[in-house]
Amino acid sequence: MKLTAWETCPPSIIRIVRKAWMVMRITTLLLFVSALHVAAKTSAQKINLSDNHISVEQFFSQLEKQTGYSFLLENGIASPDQKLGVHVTNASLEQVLDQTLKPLNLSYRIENKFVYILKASSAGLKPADNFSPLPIDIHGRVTDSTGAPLSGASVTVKGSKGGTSTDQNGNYTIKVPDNSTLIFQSVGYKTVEMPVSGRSTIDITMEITNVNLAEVVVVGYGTQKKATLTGAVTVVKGSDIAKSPTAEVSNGLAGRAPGVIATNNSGQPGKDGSSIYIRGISTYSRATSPLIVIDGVANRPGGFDQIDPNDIESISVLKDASAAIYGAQAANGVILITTKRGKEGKPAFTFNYNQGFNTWAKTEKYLDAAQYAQMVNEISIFGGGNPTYTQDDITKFGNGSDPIGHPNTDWLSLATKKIALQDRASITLSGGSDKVKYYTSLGVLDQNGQFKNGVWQYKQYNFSGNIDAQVSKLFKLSFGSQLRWQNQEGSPLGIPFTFGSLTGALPTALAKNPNGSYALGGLSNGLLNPLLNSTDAAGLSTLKKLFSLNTARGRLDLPFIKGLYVDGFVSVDFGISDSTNWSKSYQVYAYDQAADTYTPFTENSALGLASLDLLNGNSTTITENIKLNYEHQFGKSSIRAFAAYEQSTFDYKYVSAHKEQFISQAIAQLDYGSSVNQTNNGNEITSARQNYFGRVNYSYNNTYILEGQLRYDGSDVFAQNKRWGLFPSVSAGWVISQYDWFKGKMKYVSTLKLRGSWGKLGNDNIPPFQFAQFYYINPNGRLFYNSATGTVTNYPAFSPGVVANPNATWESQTSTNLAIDGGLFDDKLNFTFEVFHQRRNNILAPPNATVPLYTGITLPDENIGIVDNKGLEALLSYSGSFGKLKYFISGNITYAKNKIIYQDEKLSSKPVYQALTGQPVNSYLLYKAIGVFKTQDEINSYATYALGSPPVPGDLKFADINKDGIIDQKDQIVQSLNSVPQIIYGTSIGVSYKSFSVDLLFQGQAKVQRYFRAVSGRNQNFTIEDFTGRSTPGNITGKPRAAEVYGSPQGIGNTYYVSNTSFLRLKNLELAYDIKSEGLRKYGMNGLRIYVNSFNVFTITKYKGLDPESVDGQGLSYPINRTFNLGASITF
Amino acid sequence: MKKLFLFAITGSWLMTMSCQKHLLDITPTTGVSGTTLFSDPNLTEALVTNNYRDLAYGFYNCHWQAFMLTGATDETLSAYESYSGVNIINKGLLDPTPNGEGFTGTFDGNPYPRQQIWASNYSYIAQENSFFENIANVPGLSQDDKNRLTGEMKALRAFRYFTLVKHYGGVPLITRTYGLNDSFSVSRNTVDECFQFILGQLDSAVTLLTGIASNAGKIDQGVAMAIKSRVLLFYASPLFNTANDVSRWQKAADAAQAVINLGRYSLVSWSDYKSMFIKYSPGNTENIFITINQAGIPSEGHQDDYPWPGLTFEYCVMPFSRGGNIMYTPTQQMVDSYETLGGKAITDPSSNYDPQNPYANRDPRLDIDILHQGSALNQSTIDFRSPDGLDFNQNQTVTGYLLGKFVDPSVYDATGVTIGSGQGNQPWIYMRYAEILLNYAEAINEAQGPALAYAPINLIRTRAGMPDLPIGLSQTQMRLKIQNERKVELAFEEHRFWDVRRWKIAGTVNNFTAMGVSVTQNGNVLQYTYAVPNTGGNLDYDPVRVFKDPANYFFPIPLSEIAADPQLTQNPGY
Repeated sequence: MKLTAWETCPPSIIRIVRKAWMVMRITTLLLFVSALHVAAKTSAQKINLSDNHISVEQFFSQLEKQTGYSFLLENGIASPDQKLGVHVTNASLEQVLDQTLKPLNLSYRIENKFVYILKASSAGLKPADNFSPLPIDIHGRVTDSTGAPLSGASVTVKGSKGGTSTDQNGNYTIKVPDNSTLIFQSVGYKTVEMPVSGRSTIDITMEITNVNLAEVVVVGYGTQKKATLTGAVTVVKGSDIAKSPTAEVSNGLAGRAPGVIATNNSGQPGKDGSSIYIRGISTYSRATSPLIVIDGVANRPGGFDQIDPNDIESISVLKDASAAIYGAQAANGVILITTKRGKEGKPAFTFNYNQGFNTWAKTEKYLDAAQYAQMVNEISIFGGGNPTYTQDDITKFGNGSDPIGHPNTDWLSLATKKIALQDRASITLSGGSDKVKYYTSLGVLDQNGQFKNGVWQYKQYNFSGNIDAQVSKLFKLSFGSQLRWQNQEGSPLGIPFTFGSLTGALPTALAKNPNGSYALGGLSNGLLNPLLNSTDAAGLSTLKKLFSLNTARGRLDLPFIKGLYVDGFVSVDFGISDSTNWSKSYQVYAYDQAADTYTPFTENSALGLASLDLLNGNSTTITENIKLNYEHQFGKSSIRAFAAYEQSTFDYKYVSAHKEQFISQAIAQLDYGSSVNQTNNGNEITSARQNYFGRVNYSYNNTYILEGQLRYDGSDVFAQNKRWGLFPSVSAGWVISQYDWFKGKMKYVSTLKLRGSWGKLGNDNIPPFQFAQFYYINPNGRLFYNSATGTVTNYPAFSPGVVANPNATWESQTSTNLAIDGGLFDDKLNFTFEVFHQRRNNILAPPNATVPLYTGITLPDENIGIVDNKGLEALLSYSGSFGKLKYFISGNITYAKNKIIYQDEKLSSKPVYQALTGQPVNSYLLYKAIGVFKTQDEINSYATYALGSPPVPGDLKFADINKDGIIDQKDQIVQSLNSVPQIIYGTSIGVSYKSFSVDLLFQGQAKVQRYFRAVSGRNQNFTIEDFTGRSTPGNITGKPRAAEVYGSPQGIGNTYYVSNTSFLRLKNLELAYDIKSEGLRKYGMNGLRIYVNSFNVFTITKYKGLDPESVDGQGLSYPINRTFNLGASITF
Repeated sequence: MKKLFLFAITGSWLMTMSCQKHLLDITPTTGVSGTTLFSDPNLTEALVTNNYRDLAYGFYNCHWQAFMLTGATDETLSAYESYSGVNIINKGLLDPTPNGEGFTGTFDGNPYPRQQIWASNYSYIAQENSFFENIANVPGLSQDDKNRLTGEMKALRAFRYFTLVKHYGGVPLITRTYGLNDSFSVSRNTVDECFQFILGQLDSAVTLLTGIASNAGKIDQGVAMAIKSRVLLFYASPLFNTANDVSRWQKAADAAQAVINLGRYSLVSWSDYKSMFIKYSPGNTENIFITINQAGIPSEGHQDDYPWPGLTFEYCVMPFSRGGNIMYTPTQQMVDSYETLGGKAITDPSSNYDPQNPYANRDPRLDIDILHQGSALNQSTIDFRSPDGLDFNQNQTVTGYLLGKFVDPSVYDATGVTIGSGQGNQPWIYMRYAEILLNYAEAINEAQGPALAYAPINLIRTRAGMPDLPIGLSQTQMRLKIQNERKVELAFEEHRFWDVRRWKIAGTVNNFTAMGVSVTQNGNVLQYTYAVPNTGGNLDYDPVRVFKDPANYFFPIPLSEIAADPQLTQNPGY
C-alpha cells in the first residue's frame, strides 16, 4: 500500500483503516503487557468495545457490564466526563486497561472481582482507602400516599450538586454512585432521604406535611398543585359541605371559604340556599352572581345548590384573574363544582342517612291582644280621638275570660309546628381497576315546611353515574350523567302573602269558631284567615323540575411527541320545568255569639270555584370542547400548556295555559276549566357562545412559576362587530422556601411563597340584543268590543323597546391580586394573606338623560359605569396533636369594600351629600332620626315637615340636614352599609381522639346593616320592638309612639329602623364516632360512622327581632332554619 | 389501525365544530325588529293598538301610588296625601325638579307623574311619527285600512298633544323621529301653533275615518269630531283665549253642533244612567270614546302587583268596613253643589233645604254620585253614625261621604261586604254625549248669548229628573249655571280639574278648606254637624288646599328636559 493511496480514499475509509491499524497496534501491545503481569488472573471474558468518543465513566461502566467486575475509582482522578476512544475486540480486561489507562496517566489493580483504578502516582494505596464505586442508573416513581404520581419532585444526591426531578407520571432517572443517598423533595411533602444501597429501582411514597399545599386544586379547564398555584383559588372539600345538615350546597360555603360572601336569607323548603357574592359586589346595574361550572362545563341547568353534597368531591372558587380563562363570564368570579368519580379498589357500597329536625332560627315577635289593643287606643288618643277599646276589653283580652268575644290569638304559633322534619338518604357504589373506574349514587331528600297542615315542602331524587376507562394505552374515555328530579310545593298565595298575613293579623280576632270552623280571620284587607294561607285551602302550587346533565369526555395521547395529547368533551344538558298553580275558593264563617249563628263567606273566588295556571318550559344546553395539551418536564423546567376551542348553544322554550271557572274543585286538570278567559302563551329563546382560549404554565424547579391565560370570547348578545373580545391574564409565583440558603437559615419556615396575578375579565350577563331596536308584544294590550263577534276582546299591542345601542359591550374588569402563602414548623401552621383590587369598567347603566324626552327616545344603557372593589383576605390554620388527640383550628377573614367611581347621576337635582357616586353599590337614602319630639312646642319651633301630616309629640324627629327649615327629601342622607356584609369571617375547629371527632364552624359578619320596618298600625299587628318602651300619651320616652306606619314619620324611611346586623354564630357543629373495628366485619360492614350535627346552633348579635342574616325589610320572608340532625354512614 | 381510527374520530369532531361559522347569528325571539313590524299589516295594526294605551285614564293607579284627578279638585279629599303625588298639586308645591326618588326602604314613592306626562306622551308621539314615516310602505295593506289606521293615529297624536298643551301650554311640536346621533334643539311652539296643529290633525282624521268603527273603544269619525269639539272649547276658554276672541267660541259651538248633527249619539235613559259607569253595554248611544274593562281579561290600568289581590275600583274608594281602603271622599262643598229637586241652589233661601235632612229633595244625581248616610248599597245601607255605625271609623269617615259614581253595588252582599274580588268592569269614559251638549251650551252662550244654551242643558237636566233652567238668565248667570251643571253632570269624570283651569277660576275654587259632615244619633233623630274634617293625628288627609295663582295654571316643564335642551323655556312662576 502506498501512502499516496490514503489521500485518494474517501475520508470514512481512511478512518476505518486507520482505526484498524491502531487496534492492531494496541492489541499487540496489550498482549505484551499482559504477559508481563502474569500474577493477575483475569477472567476468560473477552471484551468487545468500539467507541471513538466514550466518557471515562461510561467506559468503566461498559467494562463492569462485560466482565462482572466491580470498578472502584480513586477519588480525584480524571473527570468522569473526559472522553476517550477505545476499540478492542475479544480483548482481556487487562489488555484493555493497560492500553487505555496509560495515556490517562492511570494505573489499576485487580483484587477479588474488584478493579481499583488509581492514579499512576498512588500505586501503593490500599484498596477501599479512598475509592468510590462507579455511579449507577437508578430509576423509580414518586407517589403521594394515595398512590397518585408526584410530578416535579426534586431528586438530588446528598452532598452533591447534581439532581433531577420527576416527570408528569412521577418517574425519574438518576445516575449516582451506589453507596450514595438520594434526597426526595416536594413542596408540601416530608423530605425523604433514601440510601441507594446498590438498588437500581427506588420507588418513593412521600407523606404530606401540608395538606393544603400538596392538594391538587381544580382550576378552570384543568388542575394545579396548590404548592405552585399562582391564582387566588379557595377550595372547599365536599366532605366539609356535607357536614352542614342543610339541604342546599351554598349554605355550606359560609365561613369556610374566604372571599365567598354567602348570605342565607330564606328557610323555605327547596329554596333555602344562600346568595353568593365572590369578594363582594363590583357592579351596580347587572347580575352579580358568579359563573357556575359543574364538572368542567359552564352554565349547566339547575345550578349547584341542589346537588347532593354526598356527590361533591370539591368546590373551587376562582376569585381573581385565574377566572379569566372563562372570559366574558368571569368577572363575578367562578365556582367550579367537581363531583366524585370512582377510585381504584373493590366495589365500595356506602349508605348514608340523615334525619334533620328544623326549627326557625330566629323570628320576629308580635303583640298579644291586650298589648295590641293598648297600641290601637294610643293611636286614637294621639290622633285626638277616643280610645277604641275600654279598659274592660283590654283586661278581657289579657286574662282570656272571654275567648270568643275577646280572643287573644297568636297566629304565628297557631299556624306553625314545633319541629319540621327533613331527611336525606343516599346510596353510593364505586370502585374500579386501573383500567375502569365507576361511581354511582342515588339520593333522596325530603324537606317539610314549618306549617301545620302546610303545603310548603320540597322533595328531590338525584342520580349520578360516571365511568372512566383507559381504553388503550393512548386513549381514555369517560361518561357521566347526573339526573335530578325536584318538586317544590307551596300555596298559590305565595310566601310574602302567607307571612304578611300571619304577622300582620290582628291578635284580637278569632282564629277558629266554637264549632271548629275557621273564623273570618284577623286581616283588615280581604278576609283570608291567615291560618288557611299556609294550607291547601286556597289551592296548591307545584314547581317540578327535572335536570339531566350528560357528558362524554375523551383523551387521546399523541404518540409522536411525548406529553402531547388531545382531550375534549361533549355535554348535552336538559332542564325541564313544570309549574302548576291551582287556586281555589274556600269558606270561612263569621260567628255571631249572641245569635249563635254562622254566616259563611267564600274567599279567593275571583276566578270562580278554581283556576289553573300551567307553565312548561324546557331547555337544552349543548357544549362541545376540544383541547390540545402539552405537558413536559425538561430537567428542572416544567411546561404545561393547552389551546382549546369551545362552543355552546342554549335553547329554551315554554308554553303556558290558564283556565278558570272550574266546574269542580275536585279535579285540578285543565280540561275541567271553562273556556271563558282561557289563555295560552309561549316563546322560545336561543343563544350561543364560541370561544378560543389557552394557557401556558412554566415552572422552574418549583421555585419560579409563570402562567399566562388568554381567552378570545364570542357572545351572541352583542352586535356582529362587537361580539368578540380578548381576555388576557398573567400570574406569577416565587417559592422562596425552595432555596437552599433559605432552608438553611429559616429552619422554622417550611413554606414561603409570594404570588400575584393580573387579568381582564368580563361580564356579559346583560339583556341581549341591545344593538337593535325591537318591538315587544304587550299581552295586556287593549280591550275593544268587537261588534262583529259581540265580545270584548283583548287586542295585542306592540310597543317599542329602547333605542338600539350598537356599541353595547360587556362589563370589563381588571383584577389584581397579591398574596403571600406560608407554612411554619413543618407546615403545622399555615397562613395566607391576600390583597385584591378589582376595577369594573364599562358597566352598562342608564346615562343621565342628555337626550330630551320630547324625542320619544328612551336612551339605551351605555357602558359608562365604573366601580372599584378592594379588599383583603387572611387565612390562618394550625394543626397538631397530643398523642392520639389530633386537632386543627383554622380562621379566615375577608374584607371587601366597593365604591362607585362613576355613575351618571342627576347631580343637578339633588344635594351633594346625596350623591351615590363615591359610595358603595346599593347605598340608599334615609331620613336621619335624631330622637322623638317631646312636646308640641318643640314641634312648633322645629323645622316644618313637608312629609304629609304634621308630627305630634312622640313622633320621630328628623334632622334638617340642609338647614332650610323644611324637612323634605333633600334631608335624606346616604346609607352606605347594606345587607351585603363588608366583613365576613369564619373559624373552624376540629378535634379528634381515636374514633371520636368534634367539628365546629363559627361564622360571622360585620359592617352590615338592615332597614326593617314591619307594616303595622290599627289594621296590622305591631312588633314587640314597637311596643317596648314606646312613648305613650303623656309619657314621651326616647322611642316613638304607636302610630299607623303610613301616615306618621315612623313610616317614612329613616335611620331609626336601621340596625347593625353583625353577628357571630355557631353555624355548624358536628360530633362523630367512627368505628372501624374488626367487630364490624361480622356484620359485613367495613366502616360505620355515626354523627350528630347542627346548623345555625346559636347566634350572638345585638340585633333584636328577625334573624340578622335575613335581608328582608318587612318580615315577609320565610325565616331561616336551625337544624338538628342525626346521621349515620355505613360502608360495606 | 386502532390509532388511525381514534385520530379519525378526533379529526371529524374538530371538523363538525369548526363548520359552525354562524353559531352566534341568533335571531331574537322575544321581540320583532322595526323592519319586520312595518312589513306586516297585523303588526302595524298592533302598533296602532298600542297607541291607545296610556291615554289619560281615570282609574289608572287609583290607589295611593298615583291618583285620580278628582283628588286634586274641590270634588274630593284624597287619602295618603303624603305618599301620592296629589300632595304636590294640592299644596301648591309644584316645582320642576324630579320628586320621585324618596322613600327607599318602604316602597317606591311615585308622585304625580309630571315627568311621565311629558315623557309618556312624547314617547307615543314618537311611535306615531314613526308610523307616519313608514305606513306608505307597509305591504299588503289596503288603502282603506291605511286610511283607517292613519286617521286613528292622527287623532291619537292630536289627543297626545292636547294632553301636553293642557298641562304645559305651548310645547315643541315634534313630527319626526329622532336617532341617537341627531342634534336636539327645539323651541316651544306657541299655544296657537299647537292648537292649529292639533286641529289640523283632527280635521285630517275626520276626513280619513269614514263611518263607525267596528270595534267600540276605537277612534272613528265621530270620536275625532268629539275630540275636536273639546279642543276648540279649550282654545276658546279664558286660559288660552287671552284676547277673548269670540270667534273661537263660535267655532267651538260649530264643532259641538257637528257632533250633534251626526245623529249617532243621544243621552241614555235615566234608568241606564248609573249602569253606564259600571259596565260597558254594547249599543250605548251616549258613549263616544271609552276604554273597556272586563273582569277576567287583563288589560292596562289594572295592576295586580299590590300585595293584596283584587285591587278593584271599589277597593280604592270604599271604606275598610266594605273591604276597601278609602282614598277619595267627596267634600261637603261638592255635595252642596247639587241643587234641590226644585232646581234651586241650597243657598237659595227659597230652596227649603234642611241641613238636618240634607239628602231629601235633592238632584237625583247626588244619590248616584255620592254615597252618604242612609244610601243604599245593594241590600245594605251606608251607616256613618258615630260611634256605632258600620261605616263609622275615625279612619274612614273623614268627610262623611263616599265616592259612589263608579261603585258597582252588586259586588256587595247582604252584609255589605264585597263578594269576590279582582278586576272590575267599569269602563273609563273619556267622552260622552252629555259633554258635547254641555260644550255646545257653553260655547254658544259665550258666542251668542244664552238663548241657544237652554235646550242642550235642559235635555241633560230632564234626563236626571231636574226642572228646566229658569228662563231669562243673563249670559253671566247662564255661564255660572253651565259651570255648575258641568260640575254635577260630569262629577268625578276628570273634567273639573281642567275646567277650573280653563275658566281661570282655580285661583278661587282651589284655594279652600274642605268641609265634611258628622252624623250622630240623638234618640230617633239624626244630627248632622258640618265642620272641617278631623284629619289630625294619623289621618293622611289635608283639608287645606293651596293653588298658586297664576303659576299653577300650568305645570312646570321637567328640569331635566330644560337641562337637555336649554332652548326650551320654563313656564312662568317656576
